[in-house]
Amino acid sequence: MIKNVNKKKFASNLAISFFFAAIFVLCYYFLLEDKIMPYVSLINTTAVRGEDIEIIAKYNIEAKRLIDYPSYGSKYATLEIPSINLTLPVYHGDNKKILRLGVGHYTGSYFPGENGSILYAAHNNAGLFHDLDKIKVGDIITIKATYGTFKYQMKEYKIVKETDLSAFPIQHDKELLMMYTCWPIDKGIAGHKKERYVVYAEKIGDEIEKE
Amino acid sequence: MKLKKNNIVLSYILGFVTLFLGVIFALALIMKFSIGNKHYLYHLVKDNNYYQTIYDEINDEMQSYLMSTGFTNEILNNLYTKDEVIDDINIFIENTYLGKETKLVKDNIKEKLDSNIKSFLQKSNLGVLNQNDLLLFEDEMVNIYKNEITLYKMANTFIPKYYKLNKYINISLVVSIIGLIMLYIFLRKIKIYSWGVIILGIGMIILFIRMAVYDRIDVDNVLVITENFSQLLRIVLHYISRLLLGEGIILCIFGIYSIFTFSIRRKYHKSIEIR
Repeated sequence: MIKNVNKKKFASNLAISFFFAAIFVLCYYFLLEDKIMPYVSLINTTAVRGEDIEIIAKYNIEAKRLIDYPSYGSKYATLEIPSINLTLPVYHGDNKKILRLGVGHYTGSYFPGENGSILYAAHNNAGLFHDLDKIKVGDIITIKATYGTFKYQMKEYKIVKETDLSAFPIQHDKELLMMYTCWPIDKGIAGHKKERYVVYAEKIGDEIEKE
Repeated sequence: MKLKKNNIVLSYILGFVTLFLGVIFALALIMKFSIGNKHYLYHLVKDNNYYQTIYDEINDEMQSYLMSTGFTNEILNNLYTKDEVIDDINIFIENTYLGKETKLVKDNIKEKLDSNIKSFLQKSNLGVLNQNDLLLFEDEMVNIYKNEITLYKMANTFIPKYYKLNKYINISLVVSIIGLIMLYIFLRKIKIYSWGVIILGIGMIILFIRMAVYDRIDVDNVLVITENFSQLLRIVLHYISRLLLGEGIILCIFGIYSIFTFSIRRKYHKSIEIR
């Protein structure tokens, strides 16, 4: 049977098929690639690679900016407040799952060392921000990130309404650490807490990890 | 009979159009057997334990919300059943398939919650700030249930698009079938190559599409709306990928075989004529 094959015809038919396919591929690259790839890139950008993986963030000392940001949901630092004997993990993001594990970092704020406002949140339960109202002015707060250690000193506190966004100013030229939790904390009142207890601390020093 | 030059050119052009319609038909068929198929969606949620996952997730989310309210998990007793979750998810799938928004009315949960809270407050020494705060709390708990079922408000942006996609899939199937039948009738007379050329071409293009789009997506880590929904989406993407691969390979093999037999036949007939 194979001897009866017209090899020339077989090859030419294969070539026509490849020719048709090649035209389609060219049309795709010239007409559709630019339209499809932004969606593919968007899907890949929002891809989450595990929740408890510690990603080593990279910091540029001159620019005072992170080069590689930790993945959403990953732990990137530890928060220490010796005056209230508190040590908690800090995660990138502040969804409900993260807030059950430790301190959530609001993704719209800066990271420690970036010279901007940093916004941290945690529940007011024991083991989390239960004793946040016991921090006094002058107390030292340390954030030990994977790229460096940053020290802050408490300046003031406020009790604000949950909808008062002016209590959380996102500054771009001054490093201000804001930590908040639901208020009142454990005062015999149950239900939806409509106020927030906010601690403000300014940066007083840092030690950057050299690569 | 020697074909005219114009007919040769026409046969190539129509051959390419046939190939293009064939690709549309092949892709639409895959979509019709997967995301465009309501029964596939029902099987998908059932086989992947999605009902149980959402039932647990609602409980988890409610407990998370309770953390800073002072209430204990006691107030979650018998708020909702698994059967209720199953029914509501099925309603959501049905409405999504029809392009309608799902609006769940969960007064039963609110009433049960109210009753549980009153029992809890009687036993404990806690009070509430005021009645409005209590209502806010109850609304938030009911919203947790609704949002997990209906994938939060973000689902509203993709439901109309999903409905449109299904419409396009159906239109593509009908148009491509009609077009292919008409082109088959016309091409039979003027084509100078085997049907296998077109079939092989379709197979190669299907494999190319799989490589150009699917292989570039980080499918195993896709995150859209919620993690639970994303897990289903990953399964669907893997399934579509397998269908594309299978279809492409089968079409390529069949196309090559068709070209092969086409080449044999002509030689055989020629030898009969000579005798």
